[in-house]
Amino acid sequence: MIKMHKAVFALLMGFMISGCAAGFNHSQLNRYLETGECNRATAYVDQGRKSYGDNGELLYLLDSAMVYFQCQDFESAQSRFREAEDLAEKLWTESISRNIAAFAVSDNVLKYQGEDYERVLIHLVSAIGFLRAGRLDEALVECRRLDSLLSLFNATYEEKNVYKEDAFARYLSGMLHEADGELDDAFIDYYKAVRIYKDYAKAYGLSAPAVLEEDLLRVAQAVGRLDEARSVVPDSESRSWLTQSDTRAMGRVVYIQFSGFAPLKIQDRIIIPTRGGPVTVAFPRMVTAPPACRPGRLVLTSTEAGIEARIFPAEDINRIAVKSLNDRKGRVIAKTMVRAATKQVIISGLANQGDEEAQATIRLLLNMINLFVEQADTRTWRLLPGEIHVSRVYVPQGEYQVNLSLCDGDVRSLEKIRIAAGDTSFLFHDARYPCLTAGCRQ
Amino acid sequence: MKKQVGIIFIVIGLLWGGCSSTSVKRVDVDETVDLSGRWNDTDSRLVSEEMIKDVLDRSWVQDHKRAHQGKAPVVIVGTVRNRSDEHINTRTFVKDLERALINSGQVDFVASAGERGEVREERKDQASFATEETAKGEGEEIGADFMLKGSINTITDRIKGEQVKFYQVNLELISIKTQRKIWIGDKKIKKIVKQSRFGF
Repeated sequence: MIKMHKAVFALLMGFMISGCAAGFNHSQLNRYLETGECNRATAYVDQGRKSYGDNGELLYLLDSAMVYFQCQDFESAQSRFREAEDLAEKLWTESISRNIAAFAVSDNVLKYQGEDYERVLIHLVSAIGFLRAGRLDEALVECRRLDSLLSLFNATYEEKNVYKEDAFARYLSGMLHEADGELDDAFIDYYKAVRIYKDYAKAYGLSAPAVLEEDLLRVAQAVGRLDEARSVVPDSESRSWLTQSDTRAMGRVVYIQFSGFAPLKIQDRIIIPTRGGPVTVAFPRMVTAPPACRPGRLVLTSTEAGIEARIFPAEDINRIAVKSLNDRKGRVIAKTMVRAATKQVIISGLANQGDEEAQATIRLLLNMINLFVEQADTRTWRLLPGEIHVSRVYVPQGEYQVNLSLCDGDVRSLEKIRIAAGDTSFLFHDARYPCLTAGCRQ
Repeated sequence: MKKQVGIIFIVIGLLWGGCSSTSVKRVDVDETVDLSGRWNDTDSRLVSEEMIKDVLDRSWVQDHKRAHQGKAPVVIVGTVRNRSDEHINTRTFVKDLERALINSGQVDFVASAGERGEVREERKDQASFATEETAKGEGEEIGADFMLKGSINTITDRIKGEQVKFYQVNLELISIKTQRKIWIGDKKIKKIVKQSRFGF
């Protein structure tokens, strides 16, 4: 009878803890976004809020913010980004009760607080959202917040993490300062961006876009700091670039593209057979799916000219995510092993009555239950892009049709823009959901 | 057995999470309420009042009156740029500045560029639909003598659970006729924000 009670309690605990919600159906949401059905997409994500579970509120906020961002309801997107940012910050201050439970049971009993890189990218996507809404000052605020958050992480982890600074955010910040006429600030951002890309090259195999190096050299020349710029652009002697006076009569087009999906986390399980039954440990692992087709060239055509510009990879979120998880691998393994040991102590405590055979049976039963209870935390912000690409081109003032030349040679029509001298036009396209920015093909 | 059941209930209790409730209390608008440590209505009001007091205490008001037969200077508030790391609604700050300037009674004040457009539309409308005696004519607006503009900046230093926020508001008064800067002022605010590291 006593044994039965114990088993029932253990079973109850197991189900209570591991009995999570069915989960949100991202495939359906993606279908709505792919076909450009924004009303359905926003309604679907909002109505599905409960499917994210009690511990998935942050994931709901991140997903819904991204859906509203994609659907160009920037006000709703930004309010959700702010909520997500505040919630992630709050959850970062640890909850004792939840952490005790996580040590004893599974990380999934913790409210999802976001990977560090996800928290940083809230600011980057939010900044791009402000750009799309024409609110450049607010976009700069997000770049500053991003920088501040990374500084906080660096201080917390004593600079052991690889993702210390964000090169693309720096480049964006430089372009915004330049659009604002603040050339000294633009120089500092371009200079830092080029230096950060050198770290990116080592960590993620991603070099500085050539247009960034040209921007640095041009602005450095204008503010009298060309020597400093040359020190970080080694082949600058052989490079040619438009000077500040060359660009004065022209307009600038900045193109930002999201491509592919950020990596998914999957679970690796190790089952160790013991005399007391199988001891299970589970670890998360990132699985990337780089986009099959990377962007080719940006083509701007007017009645007088056709201008082509190269599109450069500027942020590899896939690799940042993988490295970030690797950075904290030691912490994940330690926590998982402590959890496995804690569970064995609890199981031994629950199975210490009756004869040896009965104890062995209870131990086996509880370890079998643990097979289902022990789950790695595989939650991620699923709607993040896997890569961000950028292009920057100066064009004579006028009206242009913007086209995107794809990797397979096909050309996609994006939008018509009017460029005035001295202006910057920021364009955005998400290759995952072309219907939303380029219209659907019949 | 009792001990084991007790342990299980403690674990379940820990897992249960906290209950939440909502309460609302009305407070005076002048009461200082700091929740997140971010820029708030109190900062906006105090900074605007102090900075306007500072600018009006200077000699330029009397200098202008002496040079213009006792006429008060006409001021317009231009743009206050947000160069901080917070999403500060600069419009409310600009309104606080306007209110402090008007309430001082020492200067005349004209509508900002955005507001003028709406008033001009109304005047056009009056020209078509109002009686001749009441319709307001063109070319009778008062031009501003000075423009007040500036920026809000921040420096933030933080570690997990604690941050120091340093705000600096810079304002400049510029003569519209000569582009001369008549006054430059700044107001600094420093806040220490502590957030509990642990909570159940």
